[in-house]
Amino acid sequence: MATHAPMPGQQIPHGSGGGHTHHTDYRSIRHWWIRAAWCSAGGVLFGLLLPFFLRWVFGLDPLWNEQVYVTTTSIFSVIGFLIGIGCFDWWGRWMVGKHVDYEDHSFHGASSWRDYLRVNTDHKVIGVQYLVIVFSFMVISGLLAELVRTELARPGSQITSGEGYNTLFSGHAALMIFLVIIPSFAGLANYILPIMIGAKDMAFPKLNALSVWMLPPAGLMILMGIILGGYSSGWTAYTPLATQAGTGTTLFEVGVQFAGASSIMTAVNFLVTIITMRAPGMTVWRMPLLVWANATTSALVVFGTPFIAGSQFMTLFDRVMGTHFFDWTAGGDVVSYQHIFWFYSHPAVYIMMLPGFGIISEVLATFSRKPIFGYRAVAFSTVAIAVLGFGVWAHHMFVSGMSPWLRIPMMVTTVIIAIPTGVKVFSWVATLWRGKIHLNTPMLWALGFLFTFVIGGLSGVFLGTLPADIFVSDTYYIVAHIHYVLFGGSVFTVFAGVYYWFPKMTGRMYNEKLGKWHFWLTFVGFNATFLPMHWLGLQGMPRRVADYDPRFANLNLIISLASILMVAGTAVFFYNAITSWRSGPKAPWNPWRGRTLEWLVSSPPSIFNFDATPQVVGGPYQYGVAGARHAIVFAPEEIGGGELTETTHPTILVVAKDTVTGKSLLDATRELGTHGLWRFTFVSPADTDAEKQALVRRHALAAAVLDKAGIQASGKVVTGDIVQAIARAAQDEHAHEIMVATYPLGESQWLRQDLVDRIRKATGLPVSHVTVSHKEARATLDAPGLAHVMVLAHDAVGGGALLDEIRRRADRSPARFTLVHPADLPSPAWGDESNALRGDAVERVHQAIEELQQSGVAIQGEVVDGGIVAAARETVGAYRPDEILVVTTAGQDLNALRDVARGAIIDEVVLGAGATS
Amino acid sequence: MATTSRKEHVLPIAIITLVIAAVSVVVALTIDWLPDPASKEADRVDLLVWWTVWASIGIFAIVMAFMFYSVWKFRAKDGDESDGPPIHGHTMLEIVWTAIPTVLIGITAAWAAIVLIKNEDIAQAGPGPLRVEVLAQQFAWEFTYPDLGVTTGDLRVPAGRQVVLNLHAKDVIHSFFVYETRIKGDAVPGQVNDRVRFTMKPEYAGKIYPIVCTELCGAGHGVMRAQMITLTAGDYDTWAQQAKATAAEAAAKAPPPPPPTTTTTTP
Repeated sequence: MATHAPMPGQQIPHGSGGGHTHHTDYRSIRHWWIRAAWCSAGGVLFGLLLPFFLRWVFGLDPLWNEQVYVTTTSIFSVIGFLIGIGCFDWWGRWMVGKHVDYEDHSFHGASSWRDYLRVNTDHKVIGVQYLVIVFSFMVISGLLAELVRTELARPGSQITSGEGYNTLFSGHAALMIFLVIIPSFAGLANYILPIMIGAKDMAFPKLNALSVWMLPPAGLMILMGIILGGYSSGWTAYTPLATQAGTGTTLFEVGVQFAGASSIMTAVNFLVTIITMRAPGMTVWRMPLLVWANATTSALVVFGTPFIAGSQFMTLFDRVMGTHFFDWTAGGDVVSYQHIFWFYSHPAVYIMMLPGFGIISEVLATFSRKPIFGYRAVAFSTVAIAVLGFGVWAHHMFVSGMSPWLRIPMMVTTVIIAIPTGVKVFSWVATLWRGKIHLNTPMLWALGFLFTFVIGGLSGVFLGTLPADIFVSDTYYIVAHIHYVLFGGSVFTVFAGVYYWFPKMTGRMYNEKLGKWHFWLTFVGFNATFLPMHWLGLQGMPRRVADYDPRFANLNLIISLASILMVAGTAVFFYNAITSWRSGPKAPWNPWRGRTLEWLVSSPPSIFNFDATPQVVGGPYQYGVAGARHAIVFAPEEIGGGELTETTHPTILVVAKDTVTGKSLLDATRELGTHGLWRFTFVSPADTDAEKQALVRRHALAAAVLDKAGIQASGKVVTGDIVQAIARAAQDEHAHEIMVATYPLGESQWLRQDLVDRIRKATGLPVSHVTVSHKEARATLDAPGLAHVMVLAHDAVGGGALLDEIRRRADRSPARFTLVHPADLPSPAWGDESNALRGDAVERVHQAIEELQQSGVAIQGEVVDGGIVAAARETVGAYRPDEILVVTTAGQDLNALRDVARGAIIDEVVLGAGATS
Repeated sequence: MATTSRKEHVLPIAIITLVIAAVSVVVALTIDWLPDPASKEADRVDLLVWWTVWASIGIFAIVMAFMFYSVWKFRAKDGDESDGPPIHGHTMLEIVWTAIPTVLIGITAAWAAIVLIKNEDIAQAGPGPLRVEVLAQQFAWEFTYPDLGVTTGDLRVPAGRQVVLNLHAKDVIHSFFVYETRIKGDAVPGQVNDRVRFTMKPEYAGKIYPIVCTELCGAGHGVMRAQMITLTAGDYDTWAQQAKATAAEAAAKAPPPPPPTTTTTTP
């Protein structure tokens, strides 16, 4: 019952030898999602009943007011969802006095894709969750943009007009800003930043999980607002237009609250993490610029985001609670909405830009092989931009009819921001100077960013000059400018970051060629789309209109066509990201020869990033300085301490025989292996040649499974006295530790011989013991990455030739097998004759499987009624094989089989006559 | 050694800068970017716009020249894994590239402030400005001449005389924009915006310009249009007399219109 908290200063044990158990929560994702569905439904119900009850009690007439009910149901359904999915479980248990374990990491780390679909407190998992959410919404909101461009391809009305069109661009902007750009930086930083400062995780992991899980409901709400209609007042949602609007606007106003809350919690988390969790030696002047950027951005979020929350609450209250904040007919003030809104939303453009500046600094330094020029100036200019960013909001309101005197001071502060921004750009270009420039994909994006951002920055100065702003305000010039800074600026940096850290995050290299295609398609498409909009704006084409003057027709058509290039680029990106993630070449620890801490650990990093606290000894960008280092990462004491490098992989000797492919053994090795510190050698004693062959096959299988998890393993078959052979192997391999896998006590020959102790004595090494049940040892490996071969054998079953054929296939490359034996039975299928025949068939399959398993082939089997094609049709769906091996004594017509094979490779082997006996 | 190696870069960078600048200048000059500056204010705005454009082209050309030259000249050979020289910064250079933009920005801001103040100066000479009350509503414009007691759907202004618009809105925010004046202002419910002030040049008399709403105001935002007709001083006087007479006649016949009601929204 006792709960305990770590005492201040108390060293928490960690690493593989410490007190942590990294077991994963046993409940399936189904459990959590069903619970989430129920709780959301409960939230909806509560959201309906609460206002109904209150309105009834207070005698409010009418009882039904749509916007009130939409507000409460949307709020409570999200709260219900968050409770249901498990965001509050730990705190809930603590509150009611149940046992909570501060060292419980069952919600930490990921071993399969399923772990990404539930609440997880691992900053790396959360980072990936963020990015997946972000890119999903990027697709949706990109499609909305394409619909906008379709409508604008010709003057007049194409697919929609009026409200429909207003909804399209409002939705595009709101999703891109609140669900794509802002959280994309939270995602990248979530993954990278704790590693960069040498921390094991974020300061508040549970809060971190809550932040990310707030995003999907927030996005869905805005999306529903688009679908249900009524969200048509632009992402700025100016009153009184927004006050008049329908359900969609209510959903937007609630959705923004959740996105904003998520943003604020993440910012607090980053601030505390950066302030308190830096590794020894990581002084502020040794922090990488991404850390500087995120610290500054987080401060901006904490100060600024409450203002947009306030502005949306006030509009919402005006709509559903009868307040009059912005109701000018009752003493409210319309323009004050814009002041509050922009007091956040201008700093928000820096929230969307500063982390990108950080990414660019990392990428430029690494791929120019030079220190960032003027590191301190770049760091200080970040802070200067953030501070000045709060003094310029009213430049969005030069034509709004606000107090006229305010305009010139705001213009002055606005254009002053160009100075620190200019310092950054000049420093970046100077970083390139005399460098050794490598044009990898991240670098291309960084250079592309420089090009577009300089244009966006200069058009920003143009807009800052008051009379020019009055002239082009609310025209396409604004659309051009915002896309040059938010797309050519922010999104380019996000792509630079995603490519830069892709190897670190996935452990795989992306395809460089496709990455470059993505860049060039997007870069050309981007400039062809948005550069002409400057002209449209200067010619006076207003923004936010579905119809326009026919003299702009041709240029708009060109713009709409050019935008398709960006769609193509994005498609290439998704193809590249998904295929590379699944099967790209393995990434080394440090593919770009970077200096910051994240490159000094494995790709992907182990569950707590560092197995021993790293030590920072110098600046982050000491390229070209002889002997200079940024940090040292240590190996844990259990493997001897000292500096940890990619080549440090002490061997663990795994002694096992038939149990080599047992699940518990593989799980144990995989768990140790994910730390990236160990490699494994399977040592198995054999007496006969047949045994030897079987063991070689099992070693290959186990190695293939571990290889999929990024773990090196090899096998060795020894003969003679077991203990001596093992001692010899331990010496040859410089083994650090020995792991013995046996059958359970009572069934194990080895345990009877007291093998574990004898090995310990003979080698003097630490020996651990894993038990594998008989059933497990024989169970077909269901591990990812092993090819699944379905063997369809009709009359060949029972013959030695079939078994040889399967062994031959097994030796070609590691695979697991399913033997399907179609039994053509006489009708009726339940008759005595059929039953007898089926019994024989089952017996034959049993024998074949037994023999094959003896020889180290992972195989299971099944007897299916019907001919070959019918049997295939019945089983392919269930087994989903990668290959089908058809073994017959007579040729078969494979065309019919091809139709049911679901894309599996079909291979046919015709055995000679007499093979069956 | 360092000096010679620095000198070798000067010429190519200068050439790239000039090429980028030349292309930008050709684009700037061959396209008619700012047609019909029909008001006196437009000339001031356009001049300021061109100043920022020229300055921007200069900065863009220099920065891009350095970038492209670096990428071309300092590209690492295949298999070259060495690092560049550890240049951490150069204080003098950093001061210079902070100071130059500061000066440019200072000039621009001062210039912009002067243009704004001049554009919004109320004319004292002659008959003084013509004041028109503008009422914007979803999705139409209404122009009232208090001196004449006339309300119209099109805005008629005399060329050569300053016009000051008092913008009002009935329902949501709208924005008044006549491209050729380069002046814009929001019409906000509950307050009056008097910052749209312009003087049409006499040579632009007899022209019709579209008035467009530039602040999103709902479903009909894109079609919320009206016309501004510029007249010579003489023509305007003629029209004013006629309109005044017609309005007086109509007022005599019809009962006075009810006072304008304010719309209220109930939650």
